[in-house]
Amino acid sequence: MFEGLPREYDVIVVGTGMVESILAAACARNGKTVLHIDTNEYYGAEWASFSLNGLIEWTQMQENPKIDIDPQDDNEKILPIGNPLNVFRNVELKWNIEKTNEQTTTTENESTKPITLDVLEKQSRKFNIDLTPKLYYASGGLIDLLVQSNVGKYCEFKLVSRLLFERNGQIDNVPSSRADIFNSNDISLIDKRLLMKVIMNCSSMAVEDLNEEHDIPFIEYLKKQKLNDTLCHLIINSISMVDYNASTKEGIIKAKRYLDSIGRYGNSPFLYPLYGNGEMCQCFCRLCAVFGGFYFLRFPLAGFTIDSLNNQCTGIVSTTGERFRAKDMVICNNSFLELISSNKNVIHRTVLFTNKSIQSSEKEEVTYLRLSAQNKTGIHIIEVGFGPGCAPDGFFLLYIFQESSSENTDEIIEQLLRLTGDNFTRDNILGQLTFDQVDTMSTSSSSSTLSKLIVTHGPDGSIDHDSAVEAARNLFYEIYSNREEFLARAPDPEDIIIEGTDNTDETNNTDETSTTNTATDDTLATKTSTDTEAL
Amino acid sequence: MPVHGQVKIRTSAEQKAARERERAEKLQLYLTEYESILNNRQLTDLFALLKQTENTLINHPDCFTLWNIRREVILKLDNDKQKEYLQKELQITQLCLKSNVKSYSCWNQRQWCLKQLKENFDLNLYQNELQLCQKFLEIDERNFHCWAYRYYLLEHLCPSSSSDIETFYDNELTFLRSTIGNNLSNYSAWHYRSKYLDKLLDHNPIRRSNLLLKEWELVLNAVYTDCSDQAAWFYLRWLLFKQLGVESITETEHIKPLEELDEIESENKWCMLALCQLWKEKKINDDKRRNYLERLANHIDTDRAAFYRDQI
Repeated sequence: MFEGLPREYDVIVVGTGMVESILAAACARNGKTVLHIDTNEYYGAEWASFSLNGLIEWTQMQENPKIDIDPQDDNEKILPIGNPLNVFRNVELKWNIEKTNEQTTTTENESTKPITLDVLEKQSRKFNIDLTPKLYYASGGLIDLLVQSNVGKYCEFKLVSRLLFERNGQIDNVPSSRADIFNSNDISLIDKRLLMKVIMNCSSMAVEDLNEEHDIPFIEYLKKQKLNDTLCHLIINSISMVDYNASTKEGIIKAKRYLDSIGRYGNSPFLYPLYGNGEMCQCFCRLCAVFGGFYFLRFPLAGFTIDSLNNQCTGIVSTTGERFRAKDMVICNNSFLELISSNKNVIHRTVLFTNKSIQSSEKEEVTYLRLSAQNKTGIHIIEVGFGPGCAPDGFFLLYIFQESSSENTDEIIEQLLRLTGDNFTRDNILGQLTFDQVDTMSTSSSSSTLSKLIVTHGPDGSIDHDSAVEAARNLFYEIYSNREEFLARAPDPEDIIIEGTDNTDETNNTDETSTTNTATDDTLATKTSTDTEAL
Repeated sequence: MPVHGQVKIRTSAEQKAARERERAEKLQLYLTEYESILNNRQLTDLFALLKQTENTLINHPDCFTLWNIRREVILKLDNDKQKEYLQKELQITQLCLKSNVKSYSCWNQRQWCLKQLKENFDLNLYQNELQLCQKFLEIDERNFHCWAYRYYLLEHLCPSSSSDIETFYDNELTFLRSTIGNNLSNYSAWHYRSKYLDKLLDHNPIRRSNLLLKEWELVLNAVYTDCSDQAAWFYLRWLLFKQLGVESITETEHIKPLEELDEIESENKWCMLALCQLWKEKKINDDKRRNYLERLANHIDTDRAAFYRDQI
């Protein structure tokens, strides 16, 4: 099984989630040898996207049998892994449609037959369902990283074309750009001016400009600018996207992030990846592979090898007893460590399979609706369909989750149905997946007692990836200290000189398979002139 | 880990040197081609000359002389060939526009082609051209060359029958409204809006008060949304003084909303100036007017102090 796979690396990364994948790419980019594994047969771990059949399979996931490995000598200890799928609890998939249509009379009109599950399953591959749906701020951490590192060339995005909020018991478009405000018929002239003023202030304010005047709660600050209740709600809920008790500082910084992102790629601040969020992890893994990283999915992992003399993690061991050494570090997602079982913080996630958009439109839209109120945390609702390649034509996925779960899922769906009225009813909901995802960000990494084992966390309940990118960056500098560059831009083909000729032949290999990827032939192993042997 | 070949990356100094080399080569090539064309100008092989100039222009679309030569050549051709080559010319200018969408000579050449083809007026051709304009406007909605060309086309596409004309103008005004809706700083769009509003009002004076009312609402919306955008203010002044006329300006409808805006945005020079001009015409608020003009001259817009003082 492990033929041809080297047994020693600079870094071993366990788990193909977002933080791990960014780290693996960053290490490989700087010339480190990397082994990147996952016990799943797919990339992405908690951030993965599935076809419909893949998702159904995932809901029926099995327990991995635990295998005890004996230490090979007195100096070695083995730290066994837990089941990483234990981050998911209470997984339930319910369908409101029949499995199949028994009568298939040819005289009946195809379009009036009620949809059945087998029809959806036949189009399974047209679905790309996110376990962790997220949006990307156009000027945010992840997009900047994709652009800076040139990993962006591996992926495509759609603009989140429709931003909605709740106004007077109905769903309405969020006016956030000058054009939106100009064209709106629902805001009075004076209110337009006041709103524009606040927006432009937030945009142009720098962090240094914030002073004692801004120590009041954000809602008070907005009222001081003479905004009415609706506009305050608009800004708090849909532009800053903070809770009602947020500070002015937080409100302005977040508003600025939103406003700075508008116009970079279009009239909306958010992007959504084609084929779902799982693609992102794969893009970073691809970069890692291009720079020589080795990949092994469905790796039969038993645990970690520890040098008991100095309590240092030395590598990993498979269920068959094969050992793989890591010279610098083992990076591992904390879902593999058994300590998460005691964790109480969870994110409730819901995926609704629907046959109608929550608000009809002439064209394909990617929609984001945020609901909030006084004393309630924000509820994120994302709708994707055929446009970004996440569902077959005519079907939609409706993702619902909260920053910190306080509302009951059924109540949230009720609230949504009240807002959509006749446009979208319970009949349009064909199926419902609910599950709880342990919020591993709040887990204290108590295995820091072990050196050379870096623990990463999974996703949080926010709408964006900034915390994951920050975590990856910070962990990278922790390992390699600030002397190394974090995901430098890969050189453009024109700038590569092959020795002996002064031409610009491209010799990079961007193939990636889901099992071992040997990097012996034709790798673009570039060492920049600033690279130093840091360790 | 084994690595094939030694791969080196050019440093930024090397990159710069490589770029310089490239540019020098390009320049040399251009000069050679240009000289060759001038030498061949009087020769009889017209098609070769066309080919030569085409090759050069695609990389360097802004060379007036070369376009001139092409015009010379095309006019020398006989009628059938001429028509064919005029059509081709449109394609060639399109290619050239790709490298510079704001090339004066390319747009000029297109117009010249259409003028030459005027006797064979082809509706399809003009519609196609209009679509092309649309595309270019999508790339850059403020490309004034494209706007000018568009209006040249519309002049010729304008229907002759009376009822059709009105719809035609209305459609154009709707198009302009949506363009302004996308970006209210689009000066070209406001400018052409004024032209078409004029035409529509001339054609059908009955709709005057209704149209002007709507127009006032539009421009008021614009200055409230973005009080620092000059395009809207210029249009507002044109609408009030040139279109509506001083007699029709009322205090409640026109002056009061601007005064309210002024209260919220007290240092906005555009608003203050507009108010000063209105108060002057209506002979009211003279003291306040002087005060504003002083403030504009001395504090707010000192670059134009003399302009403001002149008005006192």
